Amino acid sequence: MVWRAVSTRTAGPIALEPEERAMADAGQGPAVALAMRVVLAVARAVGAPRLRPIESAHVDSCLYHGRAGLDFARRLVDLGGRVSVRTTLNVGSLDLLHPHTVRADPVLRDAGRALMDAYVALGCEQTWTCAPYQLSHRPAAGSHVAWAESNAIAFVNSVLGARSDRYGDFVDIAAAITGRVPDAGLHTDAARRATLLLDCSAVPAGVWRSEAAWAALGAVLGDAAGSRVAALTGLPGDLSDGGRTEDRLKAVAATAASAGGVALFHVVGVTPEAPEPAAVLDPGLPERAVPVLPVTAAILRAARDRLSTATGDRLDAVSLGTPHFSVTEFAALAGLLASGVPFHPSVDVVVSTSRAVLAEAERSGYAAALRAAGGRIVTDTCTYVTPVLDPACRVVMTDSGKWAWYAPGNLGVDVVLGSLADCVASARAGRAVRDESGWG
Amino acid sequence: MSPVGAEPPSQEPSIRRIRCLVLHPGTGSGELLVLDEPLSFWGGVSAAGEVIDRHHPQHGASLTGRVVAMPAGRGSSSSSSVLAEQIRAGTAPAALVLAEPDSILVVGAVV
Repeated sequence: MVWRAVSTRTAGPIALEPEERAMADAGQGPAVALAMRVVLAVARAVGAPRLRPIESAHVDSCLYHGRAGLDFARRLVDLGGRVSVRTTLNVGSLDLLHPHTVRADPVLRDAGRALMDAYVALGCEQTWTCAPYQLSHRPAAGSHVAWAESNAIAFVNSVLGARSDRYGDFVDIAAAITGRVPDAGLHTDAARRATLLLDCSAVPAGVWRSEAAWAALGAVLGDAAGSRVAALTGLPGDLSDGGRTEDRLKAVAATAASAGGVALFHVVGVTPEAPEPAAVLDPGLPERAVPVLPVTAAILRAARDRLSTATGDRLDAVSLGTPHFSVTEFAALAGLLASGVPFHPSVDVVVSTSRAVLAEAERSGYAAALRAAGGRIVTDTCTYVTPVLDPACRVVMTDSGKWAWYAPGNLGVDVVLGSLADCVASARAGRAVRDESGWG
Repeated sequence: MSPVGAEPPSQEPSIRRIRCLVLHPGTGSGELLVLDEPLSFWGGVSAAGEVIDRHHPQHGASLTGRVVAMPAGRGSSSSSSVLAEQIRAGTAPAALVLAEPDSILVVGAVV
């Protein structure tokens, strides 16, 4: 049976300030008008009554997916487009610092580079990272921003307490140029309240030592919440501990935003908007009316195993740093490598990171320790969005739930999800090994 | 489009109507494909329009030219670009009907 979709009616009008009206009417030039058209289309779709100003933006559109994206960016450049707020850039298709790392065909090399150049020409900062929140770009709690890149959206909302709705390509740069977003979604108080509780208090403390447990928690959260806001209780964590809790919540955010459409979660007692459960629950709703999902070690282990597609112990590569490796993760890796035992020659160990974090890792000697063991470092891009690994590579181990989620589809490889220590032990052994003792 | 309620059956027996909120105006027709779970276009659908997300129940199905109904968007911000590129290349769905509005997919259709 053939179905026909016919649209006739759209949502109500959007009240524009005089300056916004001028932008829409090309009073600030054709690039601003084009950008405003995109912002207003999204505003209509989400039913926003008005627009609101933003303090900064993070743009994901700089990764090449085909002509359409390049045509759009070039059009903005040709029309004289320029960002009006501070704007950082997500990963591109190439590693500009290490040009031979990406096995790009001529089309990807030229078009991927042209797209990255176009966003620089629009005035964006060359951060080239999916984790701008680590060093370069940390919006204040309560500030309104327009961020794209699903893990970064979930992190900036949940861990930094800034406010961004779930933005995608094109609207990210449109918001950066106009300095406006629809006043809707996670910019509003009501949408930031939790409608679901995940009670993690039954999980033995030792389980949380494995990075894979946090990735698995993200998968459980994404499955359970979809695009709803959840509050998690019974989790350890302290955002002033020098980065470890941020790394763990990065893993939760990234996996939950892959397995679901999660753009905000609260960790009670840890994240800024959730000093106690009552702070994030709807005040009009009795606490017992909110569904509670108990999370156990068995549930986490099952989620971890669903993210592992490989059978047997074959291992060709290890991929770390999705989202980009932080300075604290580099420190932990360097600690594991301190014994000086090198990686097995048949295993390609690749760490993806930002150029800002790499500069720190070079100063502290962490990067040298990784290279001495036989590993290599990729910046500006990531191993699952562009060809970095050998095409003959079949089985890859990672500590990232996001990498494990996407790599089988993107690269056609099988994946083993393990802790950082498991990844190092496996890279040395030349086969996949996991320490199961901490899983309860 | 996003459903807001059902209308009484139409006079024409072969037509069933579902009332929706228009996320982006347009028309499209094709075989209906109902996805049991949300789908991320980036990392979930190939340039040729095939579902490549190994975690998805409709893994292997082709979205090209279909009226695709799904509960919600999922995952990547790059889904806007992937959908826009599929529209350019002629491998996109004919229409998307979502149970929850998803601005990332809307933008792919707008641009």
